[in-house]
Amino acid sequence: MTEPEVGAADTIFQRRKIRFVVIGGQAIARQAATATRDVDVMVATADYHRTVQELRSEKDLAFDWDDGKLARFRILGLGGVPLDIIDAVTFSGRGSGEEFFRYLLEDASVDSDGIRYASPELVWYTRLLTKRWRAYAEKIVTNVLDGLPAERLVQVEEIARRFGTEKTLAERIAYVRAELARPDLERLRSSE
Amino acid sequence: MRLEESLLREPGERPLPPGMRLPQARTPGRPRAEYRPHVRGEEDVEWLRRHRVPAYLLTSERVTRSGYPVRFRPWLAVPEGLVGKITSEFRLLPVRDADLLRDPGPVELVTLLLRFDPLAARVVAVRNRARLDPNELYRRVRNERLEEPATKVRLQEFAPAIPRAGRSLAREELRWIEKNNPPLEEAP
Repeated sequence: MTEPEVGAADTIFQRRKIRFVVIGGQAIARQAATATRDVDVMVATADYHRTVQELRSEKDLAFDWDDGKLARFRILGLGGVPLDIIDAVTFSGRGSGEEFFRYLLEDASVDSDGIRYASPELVWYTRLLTKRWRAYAEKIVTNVLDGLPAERLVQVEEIARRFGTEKTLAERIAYVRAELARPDLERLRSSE
Repeated sequence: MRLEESLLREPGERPLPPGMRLPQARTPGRPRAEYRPHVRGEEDVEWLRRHRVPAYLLTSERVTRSGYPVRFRPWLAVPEGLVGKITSEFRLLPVRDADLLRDPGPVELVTLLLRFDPLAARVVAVRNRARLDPNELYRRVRNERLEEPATKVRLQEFAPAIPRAGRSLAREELRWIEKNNPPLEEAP
């Protein structure tokens, strides 16, 4: 089932013929607990500036800001739900934005109702690479408590090695693993 | 030796509905009317609550109504001592103090959320600040020994007496989470 927020974004992107992949909470929401409102979509680096320009003239969206790699809009028909447009280069490490987007499209996302959603491990990878990674680490712990296997962290490490970000992520993944090993959380995980 | 909690049928009380009964092996010296209910749905939880069994089904809808739009599989909160006495399709969320489940308001909701989603606990606290009694929040957090997750999301801002344990997330990160998850009814 497509969430209304994602459906609204998809309608706009289809009309504008822009390739995109849903990442963030809406991609996680298909498999685990998440806050459900805002929509994060990743676009190819070559498409980023054109996407932001075109969306600025979209009557169903309000433009908030653009820092060159991330732009925020609000979906007017849905009470102003945030819609973030993210340039793939943000997470491409030593690779190019095009390489990262191709990897996302071909190897790290699935199709559902004609919309591509990033895999949980890809979402975790992007979250742990941001400067707010500690807050996102909490979300990863919650995802695991809600049923996503912690073993997927191994795939996060594989993505990091592929794009040369493994040094940055090593400490952060270790932090998540240490949190998951807390006795009180281990008890909850075994309470299924 | 250790003391175990049990669910016992009281004199004059009707037996469990058939759908909630599980075969219970007899143990010498134990009363025959010991319960081991099978909780399959919300109505079974209501049945338990009507019979003064401390159980509470924590759902996404409740958290969303309290200002944090979220989706998760429900948790059945029960006292620690009852964890082995109840069979359920729901995940069990053990609590130390059964009183927490009597009539859960915002303070109790924040406390329950601290166990598995501290960020949700923070946002619910922010959006229900006027209804949070600092003394009650302190008492609940202490009783459940949740000082560490409470510190992580800076609940001392709501109940200053909560002892600090471990490190806190940066204020900016917490604000980011709040900003990115506007409540459904108040979206701009």
